[in-house]
Amino acid sequence: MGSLEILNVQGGEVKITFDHHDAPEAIRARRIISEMIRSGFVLLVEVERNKEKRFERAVSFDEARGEYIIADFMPANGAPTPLVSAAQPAEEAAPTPGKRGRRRRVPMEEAQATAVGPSAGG
Amino acid sequence: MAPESEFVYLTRAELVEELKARFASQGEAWAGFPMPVPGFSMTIHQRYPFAALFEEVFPDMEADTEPVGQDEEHEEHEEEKVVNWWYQPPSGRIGHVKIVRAANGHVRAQRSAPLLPLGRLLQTFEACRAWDMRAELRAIKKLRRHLSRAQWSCYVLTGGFAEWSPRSGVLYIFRRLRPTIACSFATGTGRIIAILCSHPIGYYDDTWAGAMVPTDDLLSHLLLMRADEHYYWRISNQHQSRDLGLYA
Repeated sequence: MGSLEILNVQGGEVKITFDHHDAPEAIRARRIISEMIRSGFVLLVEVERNKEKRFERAVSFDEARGEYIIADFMPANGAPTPLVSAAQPAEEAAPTPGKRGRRRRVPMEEAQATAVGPSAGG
Repeated sequence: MAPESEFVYLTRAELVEELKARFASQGEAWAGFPMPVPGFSMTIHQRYPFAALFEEVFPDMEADTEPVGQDEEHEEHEEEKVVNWWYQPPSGRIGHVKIVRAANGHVRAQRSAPLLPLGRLLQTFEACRAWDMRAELRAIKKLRRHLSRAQWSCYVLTGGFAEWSPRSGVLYIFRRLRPTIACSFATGTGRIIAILCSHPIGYYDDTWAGAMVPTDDLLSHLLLMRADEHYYWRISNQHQSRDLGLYA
């Protein structure tokens, strides 16, 4: 089950879990994510590359489909690596051929994500 | 916060509940509410959902700077907006520079003297009243999940740790309650590229203190660097290495 943990000023465990079996809750969760992105929150989605889990920033969110859209960055060695969400089988995430700067979609019900509020600088 | 504020005598928990009740009609506070501290002004990100309400409820939380130089044609206006600001390395009394535009379009520069490290440190001790110790302990547990054993040990023992970026080759030194130092070893010897300062939601002016507890602030730096390095640099204030003495 996917979840979204929100770094909170009061330090509480603010976590939204996504259950696609609960349609109203799923719709509410999608609305919340869209509002957070509009408010400047940064969503960091945990994905798996080369059997290593890491966070990558969601550049946008498809509310209709409930999918995070992340950039497909090239690693330091220049070789593109297949991207899977932490819970997604590798064969379902074959790289889409295309030009550089392609995007990947990660279903919110299958991903662990962390939300960080907009930066006020310092 | 105004001394006569009705919030002065509330505990932190009571204040949180009071803010929730006041702002409930405006939506959910996913990231919580920054805690106002008497005598301190805060800088809050304007896109934070409750930024405007905070200015209304806590009107004295505007940045409190004493201008050391003004335009000759300066006039007082009811509504002024900061359209740009930056930190200028100390030369004489120049520190923070703000460009302020009044409602009638008049633009002026507002300058304030820099706060030296000792003063900033003492202010931070005061501002930490905004935090809950249990929140910091939870944040430390959260950070543990993201660190190697060596990094974790280093953080517990020194309050900081380092990590190389596999993409850029930059070495980041993450520090509790201090800006992140970005170093390059491309030429064989290390040099500081920039000092990156960033606080999610807001921070207390003239302190090291962010709206979130220190380890959550650090965690935001770490996760952003790992997730999208370019974006991390874009949303951070980039101070120069010569300012390290002010940010040590």
